[in-house]
Amino acid sequence: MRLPLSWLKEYVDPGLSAEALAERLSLSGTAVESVLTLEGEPVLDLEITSNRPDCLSLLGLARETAALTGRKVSEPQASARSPKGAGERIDITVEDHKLCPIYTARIITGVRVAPAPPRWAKALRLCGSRDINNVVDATNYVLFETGHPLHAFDLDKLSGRRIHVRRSRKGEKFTGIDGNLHELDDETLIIADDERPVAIAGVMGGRQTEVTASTRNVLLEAACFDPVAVRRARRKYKLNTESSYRFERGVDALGVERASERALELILEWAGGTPGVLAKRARLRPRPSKPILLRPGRVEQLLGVPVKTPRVRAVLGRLGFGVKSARAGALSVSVPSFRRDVTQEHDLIEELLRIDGFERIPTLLPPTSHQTVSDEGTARAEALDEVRNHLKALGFQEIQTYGLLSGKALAQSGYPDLSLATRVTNPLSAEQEYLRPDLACGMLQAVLYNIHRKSLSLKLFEIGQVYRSGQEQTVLGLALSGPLEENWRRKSPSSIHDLKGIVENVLSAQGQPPMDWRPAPATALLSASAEVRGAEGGVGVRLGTVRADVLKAWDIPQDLLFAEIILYDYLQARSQRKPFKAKVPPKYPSVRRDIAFVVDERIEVGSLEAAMKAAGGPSLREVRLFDEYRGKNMPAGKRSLAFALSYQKDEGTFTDEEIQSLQTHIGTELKQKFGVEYR
Amino acid sequence: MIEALKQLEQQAQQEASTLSDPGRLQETKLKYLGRKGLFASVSARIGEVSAQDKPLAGQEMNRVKRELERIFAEAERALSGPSSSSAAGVDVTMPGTFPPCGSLHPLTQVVREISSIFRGLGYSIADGPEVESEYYNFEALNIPLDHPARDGFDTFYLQDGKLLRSQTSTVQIRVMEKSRPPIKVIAPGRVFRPDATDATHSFVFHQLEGLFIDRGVSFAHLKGTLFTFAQSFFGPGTRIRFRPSFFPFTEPSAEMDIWSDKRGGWLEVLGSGMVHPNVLRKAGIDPEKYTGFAFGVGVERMAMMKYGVEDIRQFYENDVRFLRQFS
Repeated sequence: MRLPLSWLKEYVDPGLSAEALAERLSLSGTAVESVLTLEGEPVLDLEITSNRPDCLSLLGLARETAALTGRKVSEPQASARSPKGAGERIDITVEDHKLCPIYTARIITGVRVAPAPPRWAKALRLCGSRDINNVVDATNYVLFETGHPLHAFDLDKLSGRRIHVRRSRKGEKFTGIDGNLHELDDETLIIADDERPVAIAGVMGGRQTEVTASTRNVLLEAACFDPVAVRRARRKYKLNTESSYRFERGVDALGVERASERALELILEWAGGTPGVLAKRARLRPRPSKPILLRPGRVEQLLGVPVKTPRVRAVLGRLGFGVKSARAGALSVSVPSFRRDVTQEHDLIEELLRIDGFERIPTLLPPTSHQTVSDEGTARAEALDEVRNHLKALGFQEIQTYGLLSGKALAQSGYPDLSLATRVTNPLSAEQEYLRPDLACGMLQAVLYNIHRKSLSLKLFEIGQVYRSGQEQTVLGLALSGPLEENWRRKSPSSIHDLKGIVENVLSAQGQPPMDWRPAPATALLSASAEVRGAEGGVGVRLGTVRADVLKAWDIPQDLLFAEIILYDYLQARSQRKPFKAKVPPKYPSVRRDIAFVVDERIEVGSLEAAMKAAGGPSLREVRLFDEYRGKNMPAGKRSLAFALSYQKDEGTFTDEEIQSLQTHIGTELKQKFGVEYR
Repeated sequence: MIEALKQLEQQAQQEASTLSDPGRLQETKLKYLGRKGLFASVSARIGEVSAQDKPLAGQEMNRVKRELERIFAEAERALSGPSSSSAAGVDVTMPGTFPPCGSLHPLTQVVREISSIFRGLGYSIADGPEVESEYYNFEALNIPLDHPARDGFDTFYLQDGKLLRSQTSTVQIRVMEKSRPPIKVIAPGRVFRPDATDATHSFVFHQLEGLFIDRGVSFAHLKGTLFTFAQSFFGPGTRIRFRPSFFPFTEPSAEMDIWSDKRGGWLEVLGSGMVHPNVLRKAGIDPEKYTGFAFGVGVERMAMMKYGVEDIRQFYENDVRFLRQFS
């Protein structure tokens, strides 16, 4: 909404510069975006919030100005009237009064259509409207002045002498004054003559019945339409007009007739002509809205300071409210029909606050009566933060990816069946069509982005919400690509076991006991992979090597390891951690013996370890793999493994014979069970 | 003579240890060890020593000479500085080989900083789902269907009739449903809006919501709380102002601005207001007994102001060269 200062002065003189007025308006809730100079005049560019349709008019803004400056508004008093009874008649039928509580149609005959007087045409231009001709400009002038949208039809182009306010029929055609043809659905509120739609109610008039230079007789429409009906039509046909903007936000039904009279007056003044009959259909609920009780105690409760009653009366009075005394020092406030946003006491308190300014309110911290308890949400946030800190210390960089993805990206990241993913019905582009079912896709995008910029050694993580099978989960994603270490002492490529170690490192710090890793079947994303079952039987952790075909589809030229961890289970484990009693370490150091053998490479280290533990009994405390060898000097399909075994007794020490007998036993067991060979 | 040698040794030790200039050190070294130096002149007295004592004196001569050489070599090393360690075969200037530290995302850091300010004021942390129902995102927040107020909250809808929350205010409702006043929580989280992406708009961004409901909570407390926040986050002495605004779920509503010397103007920082009585009533809280305030901070906006980031998209590009700065 634009506010030309010269036009404002027709109703109230603010006695302030444009800049000073802009500041006052902004600090009272009428946001001034900028102060413009148009055709040599100061014009304020305003952003009016959707609850204040009354400020979409010069008169509404004049009332605001008056309340801020203590001056009086002089409203124009329209004196022109239509004659009663005689003359050509127009009938009106309204199909649904809920959608159109009042409709008036006024005939004006014998107009001379010409440009509007320059001063007024300029005023319209300053408001961002075009000047068209004296009749149309008169309706637009009243729209900006009062906030009431009006429409003028060429009476002679209307078929029949009846206006129908009805829903459109499916397939009906309508060409707007913008020249675009619309095929209507079966629920658009329209204005029709006896044959066809001539306007989409409250949105736009039709081409065929618009007022042109040849128009002699005019039908002036002033009405009120249902905001929802107008909003639907505006969205459906994508027609944003000054009229629809105001009807959507609510037009004062009680001001319709006054607006019509004002437009009549201007048309007669600018285009001549004779007023004809006024037709009207109204079913307005006579609801002088119930007065609101305003209690001084409540004002103080909400604002933290009292406001004196005379001040309350002055502020509300200038804004157009009626204020009377009520019981117990309270005030009874009646709300003007143009302020439908004010419905309760809170709203009145806001009026006092915004006009007097927030500066008046003291700045206080609330007394700390509130007891801070450690709750679930806080504990969860703290746990997530610990995981983040931990990963940062391990050298990982945290990333944040958009949670919405394209179908293509998703299909390329191991989600060939898009029907399993959740789709957004109104994406702005194909890039935002799907909700992420995991963090892999975003991770691939981030890896690619960095590789393109020659950052080849990547350790990335993201913590975020994913959505699959109708369930939202908090997930940690980890990616390793390029060398794990690359310095002058050591160079080592990343391996799946590095990532496994990192996952164990992070989760054990959260109180997770040793995890039961299992080989997992290859997926569309991962080739070699391992998983840990979660608390409820689902997969809690999955990690592996991203498949070559996925990397190829993404054009990622280096290996990538990826892990995803459903954090919920592990954070639960942390919160359920029980206090424990510390043990005294054994008095004597443990005894270490190594065992090395050659074994079929299909036999898993996990089962070898389990067999050794079973054979070694309670005094075998730890079995640790310290070497693996394949290749040269090794038969095909075999590998050499070396383990360190630690023995420990709670009391006393071992004799050499005891240890030797345990080692021999373990050696025999391994040979029998797995056919290992000792060299 | 043996006494003289010992004295010489002591003297040299003292002198060498006090020298800090390499030139002076060389002069001193010559003074002791030069061809006509002190050591030479004392050694020349070997002729005066009895044959019986000669072997002992000879031994002492050798020992003191070695000792003097050692003293000056050490003094030279000390003066030539850090490279001294290489003499022992270790070049400590070679890079350390433990993997470097990673970094936390700037948005995480801003959320953390704001959270810790409010934790200090006694707020706990709450969260809620990103996939929400119409009820939590709109209805319960006093935003009726087909109301123009919804235009400010353009929203992504999902196939199943659910939606992606377009504001973290949804968490207000979830908290009010679960607990009774006093309620004092903040809720950081992601929100989604179908906005065309440019330098200042993103269809995914983060908000941090705050909610305080108790008996006797007034607008003065809202001002005090947000004033305290501004002083902590933007620095002491930060000037703030409140401007009336409109949010369907608060009344009165206010935007908070902070003064920027750099731009010579006020910058919009966050939206806030007293919780709307309709919202309290819907959550089963008596608005006559309890009042409260709520506020919502745009995390990206805070991060952009704090770190001088000009383009919001940088937060989601995940360029490790950008992220590394935030370690």
